[in-house]
Amino acid sequence: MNLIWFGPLDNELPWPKWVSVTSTPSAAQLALQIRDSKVFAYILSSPKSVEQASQFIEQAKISGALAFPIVYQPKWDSDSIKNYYNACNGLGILWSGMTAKGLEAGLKNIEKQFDHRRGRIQELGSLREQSRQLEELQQNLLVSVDARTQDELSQKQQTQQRLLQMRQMVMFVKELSSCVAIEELFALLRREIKKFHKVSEPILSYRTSQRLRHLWYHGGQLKERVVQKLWPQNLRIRINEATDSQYLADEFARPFVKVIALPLPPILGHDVGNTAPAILYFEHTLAGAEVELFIAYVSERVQSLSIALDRMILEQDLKATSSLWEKTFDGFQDPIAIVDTDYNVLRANRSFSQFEGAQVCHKMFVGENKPCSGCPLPEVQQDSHQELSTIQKRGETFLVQTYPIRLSGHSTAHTMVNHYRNVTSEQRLQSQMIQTEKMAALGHLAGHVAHELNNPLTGIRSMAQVLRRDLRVSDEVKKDMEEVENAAERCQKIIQNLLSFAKGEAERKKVDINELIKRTLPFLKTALGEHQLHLELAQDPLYVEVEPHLLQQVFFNIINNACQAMGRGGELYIRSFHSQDLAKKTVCIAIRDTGPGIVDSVRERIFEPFFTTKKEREGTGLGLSLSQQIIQSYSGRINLASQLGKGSTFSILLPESVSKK
Amino acid sequence: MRVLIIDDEDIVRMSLRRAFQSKGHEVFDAADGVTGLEQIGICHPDIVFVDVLMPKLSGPNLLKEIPAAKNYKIILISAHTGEYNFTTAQNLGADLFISKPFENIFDVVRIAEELVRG
Repeated sequence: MNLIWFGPLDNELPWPKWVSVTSTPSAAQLALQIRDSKVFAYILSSPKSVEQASQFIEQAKISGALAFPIVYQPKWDSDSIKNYYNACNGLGILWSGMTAKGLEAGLKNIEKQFDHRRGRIQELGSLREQSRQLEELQQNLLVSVDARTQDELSQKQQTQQRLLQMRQMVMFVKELSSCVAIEELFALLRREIKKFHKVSEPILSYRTSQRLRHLWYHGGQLKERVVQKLWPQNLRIRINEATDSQYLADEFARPFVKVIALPLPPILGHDVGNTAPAILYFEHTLAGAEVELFIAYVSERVQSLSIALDRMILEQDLKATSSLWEKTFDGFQDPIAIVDTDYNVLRANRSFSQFEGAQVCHKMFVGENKPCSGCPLPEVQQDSHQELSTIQKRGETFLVQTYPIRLSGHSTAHTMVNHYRNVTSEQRLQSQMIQTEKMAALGHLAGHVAHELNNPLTGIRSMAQVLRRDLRVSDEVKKDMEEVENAAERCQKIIQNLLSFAKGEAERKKVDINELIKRTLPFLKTALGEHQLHLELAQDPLYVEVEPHLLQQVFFNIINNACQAMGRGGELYIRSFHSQDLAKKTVCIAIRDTGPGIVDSVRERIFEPFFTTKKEREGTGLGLSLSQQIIQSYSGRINLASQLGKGSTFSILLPESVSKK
Repeated sequence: MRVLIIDDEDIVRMSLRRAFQSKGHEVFDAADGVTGLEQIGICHPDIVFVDVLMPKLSGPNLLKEIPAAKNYKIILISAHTGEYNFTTAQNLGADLFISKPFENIFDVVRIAEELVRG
């Protein structure tokens, strides 16, 4: 065991042979020695205090090695000694005057302690090494975790980037889908590509069935121009091709240098083969990879753009077609309504839409809460045949043509079209025409009959006159002859009346109603038959200004109807009297029968042309409608009062003539 | 006086004949226009009654055959009311127009007598 002695050396000490002691003159020297060896024990001779010793020991420690002090001959108290062992890791204490035996034992103990400590230090060292290695490992692990984290982070960033792009795409598509007009879509695209500074304003060229247009922006304003010539038909994306530059130069009358052409391929129902319904042109100054980036960006959007554009073009086409139909539909003066099986009006043209009320056809058209009587809608739905019906609306007659719209695959129609045609004047004209023709035929016939009858009548009457004067003829026969003459005269009158009734006179003249009634009655003898006639005519003449034969027709029609309405043995009252109507002097002729009366449904339509309750071939349904027309033409009117089971009264009111002629 | 009646209606001819005869006139007649025209030449009438509508030859056509200068009077008679009147009858060459039926046949006789007498 080697020991270094520092401080005053005690040569008296009996060192054992296994111990070599070298003395060092200075603390610096000792420090050097301690530094050079790893573990070291030294003897600190006669330290004045434990503080001095510990100072020194501290210094030794600083020098980097583990050195353990042994003190020689300390003049310390017991506390200091305790402190020395505890604080300074003291190995032991040597005393002057120690015996060889004592010294050896002390040194052995010191050696043991030193070895023990050295061992521990070595253990500590290897532990430290292990710990260092662990630390290193930990460090490595940290680094790799860091690297991994970084990797993850960048991946995440990439994903986020991708997500953002996706979101942008989704936003773009969403905005696209909400675009209604091509112009909107174009504005959206323009915003999208604004980030590419080297791409100038895009040009969108498109065509619909109605339009063929270029769209572009100039100074922030949307511009539009009619396409002169259709763009090159090719569905390929083209970069800087001369045909496109040339095409644009022709269309826009300015040079185009670098152009990217992006045809928007047809997607939906277009049967256009190789023809793009629209094309996007981008004039640009992009170079190399920028072009690819741009194309990638744009082509990602082309599909959606195409779909959106396609939709719009289709919609525009559809709108144009449907607006054409709508305008046509609205152009009809006749009201037209499309109704479902529950009479709900699904659509209607302008003329029909003017009617107010609930959305059911009968409510709107005639203001009735129930379907019109005789509405053929149910039959039309079943049989899918068109049907005609008539509707009365405020005194006007509408002919309604109802026909089904049957969709393929349905056995019955679910929608029907009601086409209402006002036939009032048409019917009036027709009825007038029929009546005119009838009267013309009757006039012709009457003229013929009158002539044919007049000849023999002339003879009969003249012969009767001759015979009455014949001296050879007895008085009895003469009397008979008088009867013959009278009868002939009456016949003659009848013929004259018939002629004026049938042929008429075109001019109105002042006539006495009473006279006219009397003149008409002979024609009604057959009609009157067994009915009892009560004639109560005004005492004084009732003058009106009329075409006599027309008014006779009115009397004839009404009286004839009344007679027909009564069964056998009815009673007919004809009264004429002065009256007042709307404060005007009026002449009234009331014709009352004791028939069954007129039910409301008939009463509503009784003056309607062609309305008849008589059997076919027995009546034309024109008599009363014409009578009304005739009376109305004299500013008069016909009133109808009726009581079921009791009878009906037709009152003809005519302004009394005040002229003196 | 001599009266010629041209009318296709038997009873008209007969009644006129009886009325004129009762006043002592000589009466001739014809039932159609052609016979009537012949009769004018044969019986030299003072007055001729001509009906308008007749078979073979109508009254107006018969009148066309008669020269303007004649020594007898012509009365056109017609049951075709409205178509003929005094003026149209004169234009056709007749002297008078009487519509049928007659109110009183003896008035007709008197008118004829006055016409012939001038």
